[in-house]
Amino acid sequence: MVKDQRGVTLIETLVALFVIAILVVSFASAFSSSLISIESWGNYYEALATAQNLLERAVAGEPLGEQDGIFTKRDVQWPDYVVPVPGTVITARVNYRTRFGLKGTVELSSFVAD
Amino acid sequence: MGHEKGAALVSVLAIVVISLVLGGALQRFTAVEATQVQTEQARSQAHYVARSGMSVALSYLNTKIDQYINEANQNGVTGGSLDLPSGFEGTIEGAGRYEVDFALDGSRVRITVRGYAGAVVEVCEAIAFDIDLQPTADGYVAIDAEKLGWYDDSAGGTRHLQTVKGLGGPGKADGPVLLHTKNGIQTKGDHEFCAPLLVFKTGTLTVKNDHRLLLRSNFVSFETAISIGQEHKGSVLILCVYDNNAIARPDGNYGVVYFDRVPGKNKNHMNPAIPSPGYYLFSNGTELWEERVRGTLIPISSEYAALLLIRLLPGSSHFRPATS
Repeated sequence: MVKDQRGVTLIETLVALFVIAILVVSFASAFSSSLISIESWGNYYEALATAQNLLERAVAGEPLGEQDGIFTKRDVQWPDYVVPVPGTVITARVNYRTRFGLKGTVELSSFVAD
Repeated sequence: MGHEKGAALVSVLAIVVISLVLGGALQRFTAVEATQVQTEQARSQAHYVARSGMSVALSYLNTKIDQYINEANQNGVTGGSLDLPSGFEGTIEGAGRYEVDFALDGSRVRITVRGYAGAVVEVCEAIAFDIDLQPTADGYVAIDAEKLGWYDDSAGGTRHLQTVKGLGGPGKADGPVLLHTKNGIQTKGDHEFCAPLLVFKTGTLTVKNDHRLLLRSNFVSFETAISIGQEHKGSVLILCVYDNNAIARPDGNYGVVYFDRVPGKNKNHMNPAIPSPGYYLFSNGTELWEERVRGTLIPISSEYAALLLIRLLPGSSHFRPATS
């Protein structure tokens, strides 16, 4: 009985190690992917906050240009067909690093009437 | 020995379960985080689209106010109200769309703007703004006349206005001025005061015999009783416009004057040019006595007066974010 029990325990342990190995490999991949995603979203949040900051400053009249990530375009809004409202669309564009080193862009736009 | 056999299996199962729970949680966390980030950008963009709509709405409203005032001035209209639409919509290309609503609630215009953005999930952000159409001076940060030295004394009770000579020339201010005292304000000779907005509060303003009080302002508010000495004894209250921002009508420049109470000796001897309390346009150089006026006084609606006040004194807190 004792010999049988030892044999079975050994086999079980080997099976267990095998199963654990498979699990570790598969979960390591998933964990790694998740961690990369989290880092990527962190970069995204940072870019979003930067874009908000840039846009606020540009809307407030600070002279920011394309080198700062601020792009402007003249536009006219038409509330009705009698009173056109001219102004400028201000866009803040900030790049960030996504997973696998790819480049992502956050864009926020606002119209400021003259 | 039976324990040894079960221990390995249980351990493996426990590790499997724990790993599944942890892995699932992490995946779930990542998915939620991704959704949150996307929603956060859409919300942020929706907010800026709403602000864009508010910028358009305020510009639109300002243009409508100018149109209203210009038409009123040219056509001699003295009342009426702003002809505002219920709302309008617009789009900021590549960003989102907005909806503007105008709601007239008594003497207040509330502008509500909803901004929409988001390619995957559309998010809505709303902001609101109130515009008071009460021609009150409360919306302005007024300078106390005492700090300008426009009174002879700083004691309580009735105050005497500083004479022109004592001031070294007319009393001048670049911003709104508040003249108030516990009991009243009296002349002490001839006086001249210049400010874009002059507000007399509390007590009685008394122009004594043989005294002249010249007020050079685009908007004069008498939230007091007025007592003017007799005309044949040389007393007079003169209203002149302050600057080129005054109201230009075909027959000349005008300012606005508010009478909280009708001037006059008593109810049998009221000033016929001022039949009731309220807002009036005054022509440049209008002379006022208790029972007579030389010049032109045109009664106007309070809404028209409010719009004129907004134009005459921009940057007031008549425009403010909605609080309710």
